[in-house]
Amino acid sequence: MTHHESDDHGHEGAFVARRLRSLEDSLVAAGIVGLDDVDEALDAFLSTARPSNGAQLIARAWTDPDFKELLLANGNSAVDEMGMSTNGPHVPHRFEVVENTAVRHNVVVCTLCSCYPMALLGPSPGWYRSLEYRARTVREPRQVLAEFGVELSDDVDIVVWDSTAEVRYLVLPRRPGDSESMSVDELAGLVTRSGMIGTSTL
Amino acid sequence: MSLASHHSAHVVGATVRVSPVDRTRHCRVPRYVKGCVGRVIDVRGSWPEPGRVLADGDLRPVVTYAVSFDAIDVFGEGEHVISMDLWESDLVTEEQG
Repeated sequence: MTHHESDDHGHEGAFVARRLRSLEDSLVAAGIVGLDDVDEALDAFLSTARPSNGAQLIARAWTDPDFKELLLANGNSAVDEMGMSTNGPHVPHRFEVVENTAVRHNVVVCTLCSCYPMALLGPSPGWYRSLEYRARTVREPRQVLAEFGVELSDDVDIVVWDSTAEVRYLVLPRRPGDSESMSVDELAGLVTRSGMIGTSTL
Repeated sequence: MSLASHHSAHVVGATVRVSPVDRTRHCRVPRYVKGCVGRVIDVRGSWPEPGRVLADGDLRPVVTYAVSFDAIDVFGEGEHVISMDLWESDLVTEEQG
């Protein structure tokens, strides 16, 4: 019926994908949306939604103290200043950036579904949407992080941010110590999607 | 989204308890914090509350708060903090002392 590519990626969300496809088919059959409307909307969104957007925010925050202050105080304004958008599909979200320090590590999860700032990070990885990540991160973050390769010393506090409402979170990783000579673009190239979720230090 | 245009019942620093009511309608309160006590760390803004939207078509914005919980209070173990955003209608003031 629809011409979407197969979404058999083996994720737990396969059931949700089938329901979503059924819903889309119903909307198309009722004439509420056109067959190409969803594809066009998705393409338009995904063509601009990528982790390099978030990485640009991070790199600028590392090199511009005033921008960092703005990013942490008013994420939406900081994103606007960069000419980016955080908008979700309906009401604009509030965008909050949480800073990793020598004594605090932040990690983001959405236990209820799998919300996250897609406009700034691109499509979410399968592990982020997995039942395991969503269940375990709020309960045993230190173990989950260790499994992702993030070993934190005991004097580092962990804060888990559960995206339960209309706020979307991004982690500001710590700038690498040997990066003084790097340009903003080079710094942005160091930042990963996992780092901005909190499952990597960078 | 409207920030600070609605009266907020709780201030930053306030102690709040998550309503233990187990609603049958759509609800954005994680089950693991139902009935738990936390601290308001920020007033986030006002949005329609999804449960009311779906149940009654009620689009009136409701204030949401960032609330922090100590893992030890939520799970009985753990040294971390869990922070989340909760609608005012899902919180009750916790009297101190």
